[in-house]
Amino acid sequence: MKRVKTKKQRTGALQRKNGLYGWFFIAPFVVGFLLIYVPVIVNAFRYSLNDITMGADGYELSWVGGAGYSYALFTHPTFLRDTLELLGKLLLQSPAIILFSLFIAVLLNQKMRGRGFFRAIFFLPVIVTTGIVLKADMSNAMLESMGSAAGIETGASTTVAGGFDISNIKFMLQQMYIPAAVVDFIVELVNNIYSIVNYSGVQIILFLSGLQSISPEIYEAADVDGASGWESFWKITVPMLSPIIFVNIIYTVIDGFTRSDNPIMALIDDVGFNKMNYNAASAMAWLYLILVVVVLAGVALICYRFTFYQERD
Amino acid sequence: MKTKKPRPSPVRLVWPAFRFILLLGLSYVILFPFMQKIVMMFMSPADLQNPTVWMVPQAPTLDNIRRVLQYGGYWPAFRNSLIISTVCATLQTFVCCMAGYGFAKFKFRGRTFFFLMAIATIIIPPQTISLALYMEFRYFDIYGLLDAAGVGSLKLVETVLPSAMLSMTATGLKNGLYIFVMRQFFKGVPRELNEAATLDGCDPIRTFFRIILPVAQPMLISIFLLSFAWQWTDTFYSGLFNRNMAVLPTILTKVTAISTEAITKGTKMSSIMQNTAVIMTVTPLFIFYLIFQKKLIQGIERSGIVGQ
Repeated sequence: MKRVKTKKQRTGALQRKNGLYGWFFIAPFVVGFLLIYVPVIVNAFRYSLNDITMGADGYELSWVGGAGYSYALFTHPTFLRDTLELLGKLLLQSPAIILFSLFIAVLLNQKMRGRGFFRAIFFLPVIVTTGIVLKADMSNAMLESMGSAAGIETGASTTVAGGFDISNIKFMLQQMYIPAAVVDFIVELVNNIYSIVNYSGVQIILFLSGLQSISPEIYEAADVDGASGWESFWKITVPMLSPIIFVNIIYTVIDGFTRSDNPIMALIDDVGFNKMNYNAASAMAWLYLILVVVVLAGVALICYRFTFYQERD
Repeated sequence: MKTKKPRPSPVRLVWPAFRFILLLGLSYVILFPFMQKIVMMFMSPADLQNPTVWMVPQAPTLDNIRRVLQYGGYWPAFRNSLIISTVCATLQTFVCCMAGYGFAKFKFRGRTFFFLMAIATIIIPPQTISLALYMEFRYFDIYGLLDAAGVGSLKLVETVLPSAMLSMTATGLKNGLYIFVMRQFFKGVPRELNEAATLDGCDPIRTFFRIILPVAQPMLISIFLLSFAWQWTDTFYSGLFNRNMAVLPTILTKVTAISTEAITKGTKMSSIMQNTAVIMTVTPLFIFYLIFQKKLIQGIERSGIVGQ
């Protein structure tokens, strides 16, 4: 896309006018961000430096400085360790989610019988991972007594559907002289298939609409030129879809870090609302946020290099 | 995959079968927990005592559904949910589409900054700011301006205003994601489309409504669906702002707290009530999806713009 040179020919006035239109389009967001979001964030940060006591009318803050932060880092027994464990787990899970959802979206985009049915089924995970279903499943005496989804409902159980024991796969792979790290990776994925399927819902929908936005004429042209399906996947689908792949990678990482059933979010909730130590909870949340931002910045930098846009600036 | 060659290769023959079995297996993984909940919907207390009952209730009953309708106040909650979700999802889709377009197609100072801030709004988990968010709308004020004007801060909680304001300004639930998605989508739309419109004398605002919105239809429908689904099942904002207004997610807690059967017959019964409420909340959503899904496919067959 070598359009950079033509840019200079444009007059400054036109560009300024264009910029104004840009502000027009993002105006609602800017207003909301400045008037609602910024005060909220500033206050949330103040809570992390103060002790909060709720009164009859409003709340009172008393300055404690970095006490909450030092509690989170040095006093709390599991905060740091759990955070690092989660980071490792997400590094493993996120690529699997991306590949899986891309694969499923490509499948669901192909012409076949029952496509509408399957698409509807793969929408369900979006619902499963929202508030109410998780909330209901957290204390579900019935599910426990009925046995979880053929053993795959919870990550804790080690059997995959129909009593297919995971240790057998592990043993078989080890017999084939596959390196232990690879074996562990595969076993981990198979073991987590339920969560991978369920955390791919949004990504599949976004990929699907991305795929449907690609003009069919390109594929026809490639077909006329004798490209195989495999080739057009790599040479057309992947580059055309790369902006959406980028979103999905970022979203997968964010979702992994912030979904409400992840151990750190649960820990923060517990410290804040059950142990009533709101100051420490918000300090933890901010520390955690810094980690998320660092990880995301790294991921975004890597992905940006591989993203193809119709126009670059 | 798109090719139609006269001689089918073996891969092409085996592929559909493989694909079908794979999708069927994964559908099972997704559906099983729902099947369990649906079965529970029809279980009677007798089935709970009976150890031989697994998946198929021997004395099926509609009592659970009746209880959710009665104690949970299902229909008023359904109506409230429908109104709130439709309004919020429509506003969010439109506003986020606008913002995404602004970020993708125009150059101005501060663009990168505000785009990063839009991403930041989804990085910060709602739990982190829940208290501050509540306080913001409990004592609503714009940088002390209302207080200075002698009006004092406004109490906006327990009204629909907080949700409406957040939706109108693209700062609601996961709105940063929608902005990001729309921006990425518009980055993929060729510039020639805009240039042609400009040559024909369309100003950017008319171009947006006449040309860009129709082209973005597949993405817009997806975003509307996500937004609607999340609003429909959201417990975070409804718990924060509208504790007294009945929406579908709240009947979940209500039904276990009020129903005498749930209290007297122990945890299993209350868990059955919960599952019934979940299924009754989720089913309308699934039906909406099926309707929209058809629209989605029709919309797509007309567009297909990226990369032309």
